[in-house]
Amino acid sequence: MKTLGLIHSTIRADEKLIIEAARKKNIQVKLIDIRTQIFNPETFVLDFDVALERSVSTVKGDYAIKFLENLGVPVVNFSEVAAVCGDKFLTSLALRKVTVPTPDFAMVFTLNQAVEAIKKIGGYPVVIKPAIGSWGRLLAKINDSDSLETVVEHKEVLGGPHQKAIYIQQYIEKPGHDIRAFVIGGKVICAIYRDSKHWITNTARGGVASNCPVTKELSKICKQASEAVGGGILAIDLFETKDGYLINEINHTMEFKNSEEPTGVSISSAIVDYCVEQVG
Amino acid sequence: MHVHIINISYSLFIYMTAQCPICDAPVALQSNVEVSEVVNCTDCGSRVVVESIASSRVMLAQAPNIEEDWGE
Repeated sequence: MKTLGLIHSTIRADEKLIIEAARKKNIQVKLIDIRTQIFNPETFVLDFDVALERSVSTVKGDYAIKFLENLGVPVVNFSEVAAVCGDKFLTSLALRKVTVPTPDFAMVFTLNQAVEAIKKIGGYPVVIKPAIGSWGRLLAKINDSDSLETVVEHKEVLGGPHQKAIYIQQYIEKPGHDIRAFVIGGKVICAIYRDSKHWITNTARGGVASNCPVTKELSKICKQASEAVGGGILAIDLFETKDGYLINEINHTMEFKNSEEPTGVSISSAIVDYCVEQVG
Repeated sequence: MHVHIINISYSLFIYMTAQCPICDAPVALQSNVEVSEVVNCTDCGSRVVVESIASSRVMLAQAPNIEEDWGE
């Protein structure tokens, strides 16, 4: 019997689904709580075959992945994938490098740079996001120069070092929703629309999930995006435009609890299957 | 008969209760509850986390606040 090491810091509904899916397949699950585990290579007990990183903390999860990779354990996702997907600027760069369509973007560190960058992006509105962050937190839609000055000043005065690196993204008008595709090993297993009257559509912020048909076009761009960041288990967020899809963000520890019911797809089961396939 | 079946499944579904560390109200827990699982107290609405499960006793603690790097 194979054992799946589940790296976590809290057990959310998503982790419960993964645990249940594994148990149905007779895959043993070892819960590895990063808050109690000592990551010392001399003392760490390797009693699992493959690890799935599900830490809610990106920083702690990244360290756990690197530790286990160093010990030779297969980890989902790879540290390189986590590094790129955990940082929106690095994700944008990776997509642009292989010409996967994505909104225009820039990284700046001062207000003057931001003003210039926004001109080159095509003007207001733009979105300022923390390069490292999630759940739609601290996103700011900047409609004019007054808003820009205010947000940049707040970041400079109140923010930590990461907040002072200002990631700017072109604002894309949405038809009341965006799309989240669940991509495993380069294949879209299902997708949802995230409907919201607010411009932020994260389900963590109230976006409502409904099934989105998986088209050839959607599959193609998601496969390209997956390859651009190194593959694995990914949730890819997309915008629909009149010119086709744009990749917005890619998440490497995806939340999916609200998506199994509308899609009718057991995402948790597919996650477990993929992890087991990684065992040599 | 129908009500009886519902009662049986309910009793299987609810494993035990534990005391909310914030308001002392009993918090219902499912039979497959795990250590580190976050649940909500239906009385005070607080997010609480399962700290330990020993025999039939579950201890809850206040869940940690969301931090800057939390997410997907």
